Amino acid sequence: MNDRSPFDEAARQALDTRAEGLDGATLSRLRQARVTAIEQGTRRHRWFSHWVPVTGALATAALLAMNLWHDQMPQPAPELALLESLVGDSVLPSSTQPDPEFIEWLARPNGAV
Amino acid sequence: MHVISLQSPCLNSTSPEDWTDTVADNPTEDARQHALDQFLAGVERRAYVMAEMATRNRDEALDLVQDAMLAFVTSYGKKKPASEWPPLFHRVLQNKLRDWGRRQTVRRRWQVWLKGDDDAPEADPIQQAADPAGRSPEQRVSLDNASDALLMAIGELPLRQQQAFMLRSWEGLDVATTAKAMGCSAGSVKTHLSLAMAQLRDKLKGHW
Repeated sequence: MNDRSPFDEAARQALDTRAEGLDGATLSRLRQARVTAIEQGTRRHRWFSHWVPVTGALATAALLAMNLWHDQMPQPAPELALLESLVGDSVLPSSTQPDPEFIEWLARPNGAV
Repeated sequence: MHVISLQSPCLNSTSPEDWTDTVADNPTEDARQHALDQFLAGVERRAYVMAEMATRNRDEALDLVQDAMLAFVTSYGKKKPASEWPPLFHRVLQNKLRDWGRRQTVRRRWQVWLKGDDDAPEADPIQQAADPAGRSPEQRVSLDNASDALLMAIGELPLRQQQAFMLRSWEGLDVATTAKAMGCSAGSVKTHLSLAMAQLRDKLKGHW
């Protein structure tokens, strides 16, 4: 900004003078703030950079293991499961025992007596 | 482990080349930490003056600068190249100042609501705050020092106008970078700056 007006220049000088004339106590607090920020910021970054990948890897491994275990579990045949659910829950009253003769009749080919 | 120097350099004693070269020549973590220290040492006084102008409170200003430094180091210090640090630091600082301004607005509304004093004119805590230089109202009125009058006039600007003025006129940022730092459009920056200049010229008629 080479085309500064006299007003801009005066403002810049006044602000520079203010910044240069800060008292020792304020400068000390600023120094301490800087040191604290760098130490805490670096520590936080290290914590993040170390633990986030480890935690992520462990979570991924646990998910994969659960998925594999679930895939290897013996699953009931879908037709049998459906029949069980129909017989057990909705078609027959819960108090009714399955009738062996009825099941045998169901199993016969069409038209057989 | 790099030991951070407690010797504060004078204002502008660390040029941008110093800390960018430090990282470029030796991109280790210790060198980066050293470069961060140099960079923050170079901007801390100006950051404090900006915060003090906005808050008119030394302790609040120091807290805001420390928060801004910590947020900057955590978010950008390790990830962004050193050449991008200045505008990023200003963005973090201006966000902190804007958040502070919003909190003050909310607090003021609550105070008015709790007191139930609707007839009284709304007191502006910023206007009511003690002068950081410890001057009495009489002394402030009789100020004949142009620089003091100018600083006081800048301090009395609304926050957004103050930010635009400080970043453009003091830091020398261009409109686009100022807009990025303030989180608004370039047009808004121009509007804020124009309003700020009009107010300053009006208040400082006797000096300029």
